Amino acid sequence: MGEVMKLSTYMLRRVIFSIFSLLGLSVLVFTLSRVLPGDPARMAAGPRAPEWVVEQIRTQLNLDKPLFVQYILWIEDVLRGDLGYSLTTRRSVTLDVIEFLPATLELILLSTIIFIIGAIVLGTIAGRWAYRTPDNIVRAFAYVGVSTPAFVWAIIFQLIFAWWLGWFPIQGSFSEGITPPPRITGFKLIDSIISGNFIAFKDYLWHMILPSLALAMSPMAQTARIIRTSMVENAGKDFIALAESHGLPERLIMLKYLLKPSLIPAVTVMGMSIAALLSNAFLVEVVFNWPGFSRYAISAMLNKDLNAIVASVLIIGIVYAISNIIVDIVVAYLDPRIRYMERGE
Amino acid sequence: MPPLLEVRDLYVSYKTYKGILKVLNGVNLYVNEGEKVGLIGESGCGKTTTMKAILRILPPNAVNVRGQIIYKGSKDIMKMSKRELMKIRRNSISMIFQDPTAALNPVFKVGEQMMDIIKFSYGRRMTKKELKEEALRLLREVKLPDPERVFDSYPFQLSGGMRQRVVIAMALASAHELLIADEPTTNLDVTIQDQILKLINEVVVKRKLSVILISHALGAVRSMTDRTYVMYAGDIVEMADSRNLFENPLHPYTQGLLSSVPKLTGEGIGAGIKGRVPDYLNPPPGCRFAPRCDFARSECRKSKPPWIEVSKNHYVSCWLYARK
Amino acid sequence: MSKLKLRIINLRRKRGSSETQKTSPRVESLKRAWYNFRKSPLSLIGLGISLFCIIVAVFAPHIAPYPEHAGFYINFDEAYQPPSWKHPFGTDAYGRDVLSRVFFGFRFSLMMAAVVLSLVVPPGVVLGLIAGYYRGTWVDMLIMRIADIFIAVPPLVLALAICSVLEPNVFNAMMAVSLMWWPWYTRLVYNTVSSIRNEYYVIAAELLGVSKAHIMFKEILPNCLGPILTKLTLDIGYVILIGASLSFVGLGAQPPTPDLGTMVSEGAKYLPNYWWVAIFPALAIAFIILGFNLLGDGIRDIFVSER
Repeated sequence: MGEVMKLSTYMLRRVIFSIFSLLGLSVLVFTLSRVLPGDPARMAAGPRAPEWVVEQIRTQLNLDKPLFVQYILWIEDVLRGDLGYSLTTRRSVTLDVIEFLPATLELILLSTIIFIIGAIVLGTIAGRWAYRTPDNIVRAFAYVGVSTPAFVWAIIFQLIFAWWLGWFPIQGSFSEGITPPPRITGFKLIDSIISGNFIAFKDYLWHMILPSLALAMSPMAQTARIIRTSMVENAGKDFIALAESHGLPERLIMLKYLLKPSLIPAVTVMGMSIAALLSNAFLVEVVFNWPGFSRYAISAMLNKDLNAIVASVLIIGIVYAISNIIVDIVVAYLDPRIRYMERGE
Repeated sequence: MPPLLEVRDLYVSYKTYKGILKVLNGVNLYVNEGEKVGLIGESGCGKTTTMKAILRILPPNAVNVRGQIIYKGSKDIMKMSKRELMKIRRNSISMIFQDPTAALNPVFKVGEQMMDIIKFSYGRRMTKKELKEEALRLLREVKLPDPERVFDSYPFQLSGGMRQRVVIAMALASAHELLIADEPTTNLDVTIQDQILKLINEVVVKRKLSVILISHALGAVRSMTDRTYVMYAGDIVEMADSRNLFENPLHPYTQGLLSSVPKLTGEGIGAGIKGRVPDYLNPPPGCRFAPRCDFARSECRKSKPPWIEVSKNHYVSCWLYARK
Repeated sequence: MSKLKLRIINLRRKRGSSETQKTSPRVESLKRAWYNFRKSPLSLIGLGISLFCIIVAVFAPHIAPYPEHAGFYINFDEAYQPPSWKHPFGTDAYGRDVLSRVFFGFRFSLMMAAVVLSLVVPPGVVLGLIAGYYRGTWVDMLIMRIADIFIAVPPLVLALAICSVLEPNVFNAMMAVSLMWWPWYTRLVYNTVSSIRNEYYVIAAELLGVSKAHIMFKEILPNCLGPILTKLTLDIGYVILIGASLSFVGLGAQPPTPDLGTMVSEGAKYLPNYWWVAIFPALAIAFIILGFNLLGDGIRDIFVSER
């Protein structure tokens, strides 16, 4: 009959798999940065520095050694937490990451909450009233949502809700006159609560809403579609007929017995969406001038700040891998058959 | 005494990609209290649809549902309020489904599903412990060897036969008057079919239930039922006491159906029935079996045959038996 | 190859129609496809929008009211005009007619999509065919592992990273996008091919000694067309979306090129007073992507209903 694999064993396997993936990504990223045109030593030294200075920098940055050795040295640095020196901010990239990454993560977290709840609500409504008006409205929204890039939503929201209606702030993360909380964890939401600064907490949250909403639109639309289709498909299946035949209340059937199996195909998409949120975050951060990591990454790219670029891509890769793992775990929890099959093969 | 359940002039259609399938074409049948009624016919002829209509659990794409389903001579299930319908589903009528793998929700443990069913069917407040005990009791009643383990399992961890026993156990929780067994053994191994049928027989006798038994196992239908209906393409074509029906089939379809079964006496396999499956998109105006019938006449193609009593409690829907 | 062999192969092909039909099987299946497609109003809307955008793009120099505004043009007298009869979408900071620029924006986006997809699809499909045909051998492993690496990387990030180390311009942006796109087609074709690789007609062809290339292209490929076409259409929308995102951020087309993303980023500075400079290009982006998405879904439905 087979035992169902424990959740913890499953987690371990996924983590190991991801580490291998990440190593591959790091090789790719590293090679990219060293192989593409441009002389990093010259760029670090500046156009007017004399040749010997450039040479010195070249040695310092290990650029004279073979690629393979460079890679090893670089990995060592990274594992020690040293991501190099940023040309634009003139300080350690690691410090930049610590400063900016939490803000983006908070944005993504709120976006994720919004889009998952929104998708479940919309998908369930559409599934329940399939082929009738509520379904048609949701499907129309789904098409528009999927087709509109996040920055378009951002601009429209900013125009309508911030400029014209004035319900939300236009830009930034804090209003003038509000004292930001001290840096404890780096996550401003948590820090404001810890330091008892509830005004700052509310203000920050208020600033977060429009950008998170704009980010959430596309994944919400996509996921809602899948949930809807899944629910419509499952609604005709025998296990729902059985539940109905035993007189289980409709609400129970819909929210428990219909929803859970319908969520499974959606979770994979949700996972991909969460990962995509990270790469799409910059679109929204730019419009709302949100002090986050993606905006930092973009300006690094525009300024050819190699170390920052490489570090950004790596960080994004790591967050991407972590979110994929979390998604896989959630899927395994929702659908026990997957755990079973992995063991059995 | 009015019949326990009476289906009158039931029409059901399905909306599909290709168009509207007019499946049920005015089905009439009834079950008396304490009676065991059989229903036979080829796959796709509408047996399951009829049963699902009784409990009003037709899939979402069912349209144009018309007719009456009279319960205990007074209430029409088709017109019942939600509350009354729930009572029927929870305490009176219950169904065993054809494919136990499809009938159990794959992402919930068996115990979880059973506890919810028991909770709503038994009507009184029960603690989780009581619910579990009752579930285990039912699982034992269907002769599952290790009820605790089954309770804690997901459907995919169980064999086909075990799953079906679980479905039967669930049905027992909410069937106190009528049990509908829709091809309970068709999807199971041959070796298990016999056991399951015996089990159903046992629980039916023990709890004094009325039964509608749908099965391809014609031998089982013959021995287990009092009366049997024959269905073809959404019409009831013949009905008789089971022994009479199997010994003396009158409708050409029934004759073909029964002769297709290999006999132990070694007479060889019958000729089968010629022709193709019925077209539900554009069904013929008259008798739906006419295109395949060796004896079809002009009136068969024009209008639907009447329901004629040919001998004691033996009815046919066929022009051949109309006033000669 | 002898005529006899050809005829035998034809008989085994999965085209499904009798010899007695007057029209060729191809025409029949096209007619059926159109009939299925017509049934869904959304698909028709998608087709309408897509055709509209394509026509506008192709004839932009002729139908735009002010084609010279598409590139470098300055007339500060006309700057910041709100939408009017003369300028339905208003004018921007340099006095350029936004409507004309949007038309040229479609032209630009579709051109980019065309270039990227023609670079990506043929190699991607061919690699998928090869990998699927030689399934289980080292050829398969090699191709698919490489494809997997590319797929595992978040797409936009890779494009950004490539763009960032190169000069930001249209060409490089297109290269970057192409580089990360091909594996999706390979994987798609690979999955389809794997499932039909062992069908009888393929094996029959092999036994008859038909060349491998012929098998791959004439026997297997036609059966993959459905998913490929669907993905292709949906991808037009997706490439436009990525292209617009890259330009919005400054890593793609540079001003004064009339790229829709660039227009939005330029116009964003002038919110809210001169909102039309950013909003109309933004809506145009959503419009064209919507059109191709609807169309793509419609195409997918054709192939699904055929099954």
